[in-house]
Amino acid sequence: MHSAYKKWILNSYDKINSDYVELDKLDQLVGDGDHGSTIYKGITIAKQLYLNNLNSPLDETMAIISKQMRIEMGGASGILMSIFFDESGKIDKSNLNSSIIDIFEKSIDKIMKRGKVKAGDKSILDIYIPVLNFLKKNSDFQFKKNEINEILSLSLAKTKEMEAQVGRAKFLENRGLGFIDPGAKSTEIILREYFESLL
Amino acid sequence: MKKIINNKDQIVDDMLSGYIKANSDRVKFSNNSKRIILRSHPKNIEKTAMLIGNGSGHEPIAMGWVGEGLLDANVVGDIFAAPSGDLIFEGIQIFKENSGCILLISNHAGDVMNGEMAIELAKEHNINADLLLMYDDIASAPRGSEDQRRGGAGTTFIYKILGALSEMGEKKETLLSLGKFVRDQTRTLSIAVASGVSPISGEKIFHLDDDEVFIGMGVHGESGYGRQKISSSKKIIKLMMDKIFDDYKYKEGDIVVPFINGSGATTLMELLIIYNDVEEYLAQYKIKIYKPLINEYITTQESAGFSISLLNSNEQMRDLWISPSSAPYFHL
Repeated sequence: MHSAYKKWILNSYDKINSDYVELDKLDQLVGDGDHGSTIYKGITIAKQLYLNNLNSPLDETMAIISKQMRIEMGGASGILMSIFFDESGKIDKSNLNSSIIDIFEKSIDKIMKRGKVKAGDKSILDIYIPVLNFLKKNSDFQFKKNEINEILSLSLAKTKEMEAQVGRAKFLENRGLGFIDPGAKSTEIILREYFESLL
Repeated sequence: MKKIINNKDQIVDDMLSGYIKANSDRVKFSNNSKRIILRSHPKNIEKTAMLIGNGSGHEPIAMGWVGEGLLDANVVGDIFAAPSGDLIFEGIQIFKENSGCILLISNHAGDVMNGEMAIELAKEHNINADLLLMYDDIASAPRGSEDQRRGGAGTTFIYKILGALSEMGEKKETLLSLGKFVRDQTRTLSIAVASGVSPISGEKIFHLDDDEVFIGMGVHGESGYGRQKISSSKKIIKLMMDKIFDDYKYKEGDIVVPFINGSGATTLMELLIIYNDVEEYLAQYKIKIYKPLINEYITTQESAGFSISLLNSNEQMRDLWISPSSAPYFHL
């Protein structure tokens, strides 16, 4: 799986490298304007560490990346966004579909517990949960990359109509209504690249 | 952005380096991290250690309050971002031989998540550490949902009072219960007058018109009661104090400790005018005042505005409030 994961991390880096200024601008509307820079810092360290740990077992590499992302990024986004990177190391090539579902289930469970967040709160969960629901309903999801991409786009757009129940946006006058959630946006980028590289 | 800095990515490290050099008689970096500030003269290990993790950009807190009689350590995050749970845990580990350790966390999402993670790691390593969640900002959640409120400037009372009592060797459980009691007797309300500029984005953190103020805004521009036209100090103070008095039932003879905190660009002239009006408001209800703290301590860059925090005190709290401290930026 190393080659697919390498592609995932490097492509995510490239995409975030080109989008992070835009993400900062989005975060200025609902947060403190640094989400893009923060995720760029995280994915930069992920890229460096991936290239340094190409010969280690995948789960060890991803655990190292996850921990360092958490440390470099800090804040709520560091601790929540690094969860998927850690869980993703548990992928099983011989049992691809069920291991991907397992990765999503465990990530969602940990994000909910750590972030005290639920579906509809306008957070990264509002990307993960619709994707998991699709994966569970479609046992042949490895042939449905386009549909997964549509789910990602649609889920992200839906966060625009949500009022934030968590994080700093919760305390805005309009609770972020009318704006997509910056964390959901960066999660959408990372998951799109994940399926793009894996399937 | 008009700020005197060097490399944007080095702001926090450059600042901390300057701080340690300037106060090397009282504070130092930990051996393993230049994001952990410690007292130069540590407490005896028989005493409970007091730590806080917080994002930077709000100086002088919390690094400025590391010192004898106050905090034992500050774990410093990036600008407006909580330090990771891993780094906070590293801070806690420094005190693993102490009889106990209290991690103070001001109630903001990232701080809480990372603080809780650090405490879980500490427990896994059999370190006697607990988290004390601090909240006081009445604009952020209604009565009855106090634990949903954000941590504001009134958290200062917990830092100082527990810091002083821990220095005397009081045990952790007593410190925690006093900390919660202080928290329950504290109310804070803030007002924003003009936004500061984020050193990360180079943009203003929030927008207010020239003739507008925002009652109840949080330290990062979070919303509160709403916008209104600017008016005299007396009118603004009456409005704010009425809200505080609606939230907490003060009675004649109560002795409160007031803390008037500037947000970064509020002049001492204004803060003293504000204090004068707060004192007059309290006097009309025959509420006594004890040793106020007035200055800019919990800031958000060059934001203009202030907060009023009131601690309804008892004798023990008052004694601990005025007990000496060597922290470089705490001056009663």
